[in-house]
This record gives sequence, C-alpha cells and structure tokens, in this order.
Amino acid sequence: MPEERRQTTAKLSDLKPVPENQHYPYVIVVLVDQNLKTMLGSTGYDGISGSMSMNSYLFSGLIACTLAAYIRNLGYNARAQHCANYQVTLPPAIISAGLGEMSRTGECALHPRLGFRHKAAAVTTDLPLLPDKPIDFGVAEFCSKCKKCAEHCPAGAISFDRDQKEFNGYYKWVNDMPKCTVFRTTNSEGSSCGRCMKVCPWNNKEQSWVHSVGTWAASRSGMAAKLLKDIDDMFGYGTEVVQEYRWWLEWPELYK
Amino acid sequence: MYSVLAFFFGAVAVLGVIRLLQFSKARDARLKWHVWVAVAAWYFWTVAGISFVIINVADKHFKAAGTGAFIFFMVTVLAGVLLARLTGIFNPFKSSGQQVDA
Repeated sequence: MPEERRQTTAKLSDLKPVPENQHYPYVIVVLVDQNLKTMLGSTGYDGISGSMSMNSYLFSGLIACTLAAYIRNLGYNARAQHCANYQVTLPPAIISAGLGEMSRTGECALHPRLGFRHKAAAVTTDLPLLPDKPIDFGVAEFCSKCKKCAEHCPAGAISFDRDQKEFNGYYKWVNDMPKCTVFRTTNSEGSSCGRCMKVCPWNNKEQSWVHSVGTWAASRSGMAAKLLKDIDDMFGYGTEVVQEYRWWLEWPELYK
Repeated sequence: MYSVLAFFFGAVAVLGVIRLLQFSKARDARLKWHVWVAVAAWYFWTVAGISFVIINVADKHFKAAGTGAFIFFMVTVLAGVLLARLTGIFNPFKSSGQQVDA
C-alpha cells in the first residue's frame, strides 16, 4: 500500500465516532427527486427500480453530509442522517419539517409537488433554527378515496382501509411490511420495487395546469379524489410504460 | 412555445369577439349576455383541449393525448354547433329571402 494511502487510513481510524444525535433539537430535511422520466419508462419493479432509489439516496446523502460539514465548520454540532446511516426515522421528520403528509403506503410522506417520488436525508443539529410547521394539503382525504397504490401493489401489501388506524401511537394506514419486504428482496422481474410511487396520481405526470387542477380539486373533496383517480385510469397515467424513456438495459437472468 | 401559443389563442379570441360584434351589428340584434358567457366557455374548453393534447404529446403520454383529444373534440364540435345555432351564425332552416309567386 502506498505511504500516503496508509497515512489516510491511519488518520481515519483515529477519528472519534460522530456524536449521537438524540440531544440535537433541530432537524433539516432534504428531499431528492427520483427522476420522473426514468419512472415513466419503468414498470416500477423492473431492473431500474433499485437504482432509482439508490441514486436519489446517494445525492440526498451527499447534500446532507455537505450541509452537516458546513454547520460543523460554523462551530455547531451536526450529524448527517442518510441511507444506511440513519439514526432518526425520516417520515416524522419530513412531516414535522412541512415537506409532506403521510400517504396510504404508510411509510412514505407525500410532498405537494413531488408526491412521494423522492428519497430523503436529514441533518440533526444544535444550530439554532426557526422551525417550519407540518402542512395539511388534503392528502388524508385524497388517499382515503384513491387507493390506486393498493390496487397496483404487486405484493398486495398496501391497505385498502378507508380510514387510518392507530399504530404505535400514530394514526396511519398500516401496510403489510413483511409482504412488501419479501417482494422487494425476491422480485424475479427486477430489482426492488416502487410500483406504488409509479402509479400514484400525485406524482405520475409532469407539472402542468392539467395536473395542478386535478390535485387541487382532489385535495379538497373526496368525490373529486375518486374522480381524479378514475380520470387518471382512463387516461392511462401511472400504468403506462413510455418506451422512449427506457435508457437502461434489462437483465432478466440476473433476477431469477 | 407555450408563450407563442398563448399569444395566438389571445389573438384568435380578440378576432372572434370583433367578428361576433360585426355579425350582430349587421343583423341589428345584439347578442344577450348569456350567449357571450356560453361563447367564452366554449372557447375556454376548446383552448383547454388543445393545451391538454399538446402537453400530453410533448410528455409522451400518448394514451392520455388520444383519449383527451377524442373527448375534448367531441364536446367542442357538439357545443360549437349548438352555439352557432344560438348565435344565429349557423341556421340550416333559414329561408333564402326569395319568394316564389304562385
């Protein structure tokens, strides 16, 4: 091993562990889009699905680490919370930061414009900040009527219940996590799964007046939510696979 | 492109209003306010339909574009014929004005 490389390794091993975050009063949340066009070209559970997630995890982690380093340089404590290195549960942090509401999937917070086509990272810190507040833009009403993700979930893991239930002290739609996990890890048609994200009427198309009118109405009335879902189905949004956007090569033998 | 289209549809709207005013003046019968509202609604629907199709074609939602084109086009044509009858622009039963002497 070259000398300079050995020195770097030695220096890294001398580093003290990053302090635990439990006592940091603030959290800064980062969302990174998973890329609409790639999602439109995918079935939601083919070869690109896992990479879409991990690409966004990578960039959200990069942002979180950079931000945490910057805050530490200011003289405060900060810890980046990112994929494979979380010490906080992200959905409550996303909701508290006003970046979304809990969706029917039970584990994904839905952003007003991104839907849940995102991956999140965070920075916990003691840097004094002015906190945002949770937002309510009608997702509970919308998800209670739509149920499109539940209809299209290949594992049948998403609840069809109309109302949220109390789970561990929180009201949410409770999905069948083992079913979801088993499907994602044994998916013989691709890598992982994001079918619920792919079909969700909130994030399965580009931003335009068409989409804005639909989500605006659907977030205000249950009847409009049902209508939006039916119109979404009629126009083929969410379930279509746009061949022009398939930039990757499938490798079906890999998943068997 | 969308700015050019917005300008184009605005220009067509102005020309349409001028043409309707000239038409009603020539017939010496002013159009009622609810007819103007109906014409405006029809024009809005038509422009919305064209916009919907353009947006969906641009984003490669071809099923949405095709279905949308069918629905918007059908309603536009039917409502257009109805409006043309209402305003008097289109009247298939209008007499030619010539009288035939027995």
